[in-house]
Amino acid sequence: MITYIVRRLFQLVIVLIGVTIITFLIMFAIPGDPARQLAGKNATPERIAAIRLQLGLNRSLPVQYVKFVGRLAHGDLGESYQLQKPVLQMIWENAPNTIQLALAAVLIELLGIPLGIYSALRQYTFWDTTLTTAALIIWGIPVFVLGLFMQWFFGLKLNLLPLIGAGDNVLWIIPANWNSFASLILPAVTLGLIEVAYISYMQRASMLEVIRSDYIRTARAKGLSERKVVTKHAFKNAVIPVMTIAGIDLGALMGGAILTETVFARPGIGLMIYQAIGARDLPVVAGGVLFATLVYVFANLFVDLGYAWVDPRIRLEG
Amino acid sequence: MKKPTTRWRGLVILAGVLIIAGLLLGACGSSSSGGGASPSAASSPKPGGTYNFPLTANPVSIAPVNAQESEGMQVAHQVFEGLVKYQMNDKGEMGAVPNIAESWDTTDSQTWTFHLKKGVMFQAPVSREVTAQDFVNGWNYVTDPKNQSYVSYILAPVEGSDDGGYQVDPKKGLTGVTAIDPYTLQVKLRYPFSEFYMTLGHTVASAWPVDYMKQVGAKAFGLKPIGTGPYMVESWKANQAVELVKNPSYWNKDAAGYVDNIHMPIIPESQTVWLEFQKGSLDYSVVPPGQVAAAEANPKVKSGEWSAKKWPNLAIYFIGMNMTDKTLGTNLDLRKAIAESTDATNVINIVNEGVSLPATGYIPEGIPGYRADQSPYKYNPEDAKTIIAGLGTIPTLNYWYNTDEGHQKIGEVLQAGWTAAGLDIKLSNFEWSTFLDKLSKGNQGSGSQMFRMGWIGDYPSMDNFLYPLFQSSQARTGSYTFYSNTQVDALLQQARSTVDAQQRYSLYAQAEKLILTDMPAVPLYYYRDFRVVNNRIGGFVFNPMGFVDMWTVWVK
Repeated sequence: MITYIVRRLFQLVIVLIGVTIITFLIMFAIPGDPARQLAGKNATPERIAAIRLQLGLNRSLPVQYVKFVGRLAHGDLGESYQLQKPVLQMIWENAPNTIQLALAAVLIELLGIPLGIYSALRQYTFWDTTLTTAALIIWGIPVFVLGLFMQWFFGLKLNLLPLIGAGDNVLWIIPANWNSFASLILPAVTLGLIEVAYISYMQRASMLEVIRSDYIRTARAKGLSERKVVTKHAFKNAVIPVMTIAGIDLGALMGGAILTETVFARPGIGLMIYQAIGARDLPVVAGGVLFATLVYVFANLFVDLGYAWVDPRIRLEG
Repeated sequence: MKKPTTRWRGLVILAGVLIIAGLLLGACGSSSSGGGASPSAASSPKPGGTYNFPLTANPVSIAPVNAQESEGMQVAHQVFEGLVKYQMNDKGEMGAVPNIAESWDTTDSQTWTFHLKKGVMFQAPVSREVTAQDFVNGWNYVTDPKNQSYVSYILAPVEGSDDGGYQVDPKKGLTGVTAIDPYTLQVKLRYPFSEFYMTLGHTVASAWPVDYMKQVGAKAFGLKPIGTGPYMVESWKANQAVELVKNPSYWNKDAAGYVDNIHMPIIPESQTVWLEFQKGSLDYSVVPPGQVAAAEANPKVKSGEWSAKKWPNLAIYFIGMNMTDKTLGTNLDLRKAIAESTDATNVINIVNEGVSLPATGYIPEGIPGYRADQSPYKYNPEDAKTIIAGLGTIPTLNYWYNTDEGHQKIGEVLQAGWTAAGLDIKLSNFEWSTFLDKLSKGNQGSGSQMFRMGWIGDYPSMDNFLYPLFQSSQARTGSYTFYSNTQVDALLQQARSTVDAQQRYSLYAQAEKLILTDMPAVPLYYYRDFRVVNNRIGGFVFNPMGFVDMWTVWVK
């Protein structure tokens, strides 16, 4: 197990290097000069050149990249071009809200597991059709539109929950009070609901596959009750692929957080990246993407380790 | 056969549930959401309460050194004050009136002496009197290249600065600004500039304690800056909110604020701002694109609980033409035909929901000296068609805009008009900084031809709408038309040296008329801002500079 973890951590370094290269290339490939953006109107060519020099943008791409990686090795992600603030500090300030949102969304999306199982066990019945159709509809709604609907319905019309913002946290990511928790509900449900639909759909398919397998037929032939067949034999095997998806989703939700945090005016990594892209603030974009990658890779690692718990037959050694 | 039937039944029930939900929501929609207090009869201003004003982006900075976009400047406007302040007169014109300066004098428009008021105090914890030396220190700080101000161009006319507002020699500093005594500030300019005093209401030129900033550090000061204004920064949580509190020891008792607190939540999405406003959490709102008519027809607007209004803005949207381009630059008839086939009304009605106003010149109404109907070429598609038919074959012309849905729609509406007149127009879009880069190259490389551009006044002066855009030396800093006319240059120079306001306005108007006759840029529309406000608040004015003087608002 330890060898496996070490190997995965080594892979993580390679992934991070790859991600930094790709982020750099993308930011340089897309049009837009940060120096001109910063210089504002009436900027003389000399001023733009001076800003370029100040930010080190006059250097070649490989030199800039090597400098970035060099700083990264010392735990320095550089300074925001626009806000003139250390990127690490910006990530530290914004990460708790995003992790909180992503974890809450994952918890919500796990509701898809029982719904998918329920649907599979009642294939082609009214409730199966209803749930499957609802899942397809929700799955097709862009997170942006769903967010605005949630705000309008639960925030404005029913006046149940705050539309925007984020409250204080304790222990970094735990909402400190009801207001803080309440401001988490709508964004988490928005982000999680679409995934509930997806997970329930996947869980249904996985469960259908398992309950048609030979060993389930054997279990039934042995005279086991349907409840035992499902809970003791089918459930664990059917849930493994879905757990994988749910785990990986923690990382993928970081992407969804960009839109969710923007709609709900919720400070976080997503909103930070969104604003930085608009301002061509390369250090912030690179730092934010790096952070999201770390979350993604670690989520994968934990999912893999979680296999052992769900199914002891899976061996991680080697 | 039973299963499909059950399946269809499921769908029908689901559809039924959705319809019922829709009806319920519709019913909800017709009821009152109880946002804000009902309109009360006019009453006199009273102190207390909180004013809730959203910001649509996290400010880049709220301190004088770099407050530059509307959000940062809106905050800074409540906290900082300059030698002058912008105020609207009875004729609806914006002007610069004394603020920290009591008066000023100049004989040649090049050397200025400002006499400061006594008793102007910095906010706590600095709590000391403002002196002329504070302006010397502040202006030197912002123009020092190492302090990375992107708005110091406002101080570019001062001796010791370059064209961009950076000190020519940071060792010598900004040589043109001197404190003669604690209450007398002398400013020498690089050239005569009669409207120089008008530039000094900009935040970058305001009073702030550089000594205190050095004591606490630039970063700490940036988060909680100290000015002399009626409101103080209590906190700025990035991407969450800026909180302001009333300055209890504000020096100017005539302009002390009424509300105790100003809550400025940062909400990037206009749709979310609008929902928050409807919920009653905000006192002011922008309206999302496509919803202006609905907002105007809202029952709460009709009942007087809210007010919806189009506020004029000192800004213009125009179509620039590259005067170094061989097709456009040498062909006045073609430029005239383009101007005559530019349908501003269509753009305003189709794209801008009727919010903006057709432009008849480059200088918007509200600028002192404004003249209406300056352009000699009115919308006349038939005449344009005749001119174009007489010009023979005209190659396809490029029209560029920076990537944005609104600019694209405007481009399409304009293209339809120009095509109907007989021109062949190709639309292309670029990301903003690439767009500027390409425009700044003139006829080098791919070469621009026609392009959209906007200009928002930094200060309410005719000069600010003519000199940076059309004076020939400005080609390198933003006059993307590369227009050059010695007569216009001479008039602008003469206007800058003319102390008498009426004579000066007349010179600027002559220059404007000459430029419009040459038509290097077609004025399209003057901006207006559509805003909805809750009438639980009194004293709200959205001034043409885009600022709300929040010290005038009060809770009814």
